[in-house]
Amino acid sequence: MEVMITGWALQSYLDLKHGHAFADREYQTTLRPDAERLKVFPDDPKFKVRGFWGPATKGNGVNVTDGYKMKWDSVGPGRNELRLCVAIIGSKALLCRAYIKKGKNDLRECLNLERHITLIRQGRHIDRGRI
Amino acid sequence: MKNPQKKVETRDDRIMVVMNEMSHSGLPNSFVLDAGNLARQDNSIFGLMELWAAESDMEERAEIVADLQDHIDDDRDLPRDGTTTEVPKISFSNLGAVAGDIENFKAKLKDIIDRQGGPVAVAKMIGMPQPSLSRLLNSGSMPRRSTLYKIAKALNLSVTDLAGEWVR
Repeated sequence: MEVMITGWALQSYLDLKHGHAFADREYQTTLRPDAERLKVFPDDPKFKVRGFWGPATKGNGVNVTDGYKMKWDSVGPGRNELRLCVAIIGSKALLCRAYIKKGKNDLRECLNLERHITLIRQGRHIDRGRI
Repeated sequence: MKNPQKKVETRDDRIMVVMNEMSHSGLPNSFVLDAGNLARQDNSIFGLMELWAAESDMEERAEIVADLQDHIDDDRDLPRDGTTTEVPKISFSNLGAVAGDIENFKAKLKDIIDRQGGPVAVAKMIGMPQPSLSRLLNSGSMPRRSTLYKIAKALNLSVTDLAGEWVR
């Protein structure tokens, strides 16, 4: 599977790095290698681990169509719950926004992902490269 | 028995109600109009507006406003002809340096904005919700070229005064 970095993903990376949400070493040893597992989606066994991978839900059990979340707990000095939103469309995995889960922002971020997927389907997104 | 007088609230009615609430809360009219127009076309935006209306935590409300402004800007900036926007790629090894450049640029921008009365005053001048300007100044992400133009115009600065290498 082709793994595309969208403009939203790059912005999130810069913002999370700025906020010291993760250490460089964690990024290199855990976060990026986990994102690279998408190249063989869904064959990597880690995609069967519910605490690592699951559908993005809008609440009331309604899933965002083609929207998923990659999850890490206890990341960075703040032991953050980090989430990476991913759109799986055809043979492409598109990395979208990443965020630290806190308070009630999960639902907001799922709505943001849903809007991003609408734009992706229209071809209206920025391609920042592949991993 | 159903009350024949009771009018069913349509989605458009609901959008108008939330737009009114947003106006009364002091958000710029241009933002409220743009958010309402986008919500009429897109359920996710409507969902974000409903989330804003139901939210009592002011910090989370500010985040929703900043997200809505981002979606409004995306809708304006991304081409509608179905061609994905390709931009020069940044190699992974350069990302750290890029992040540093953006931080330096934002420190300079913050200084300019502080000298003009601070984010609240400048947000008002450019007709942007204050949470969006605060996110621009305090986050590590690249600023939008269109926002920098707006700031330059409102503050009567030359575009080159606010030129940054890493804009989107």
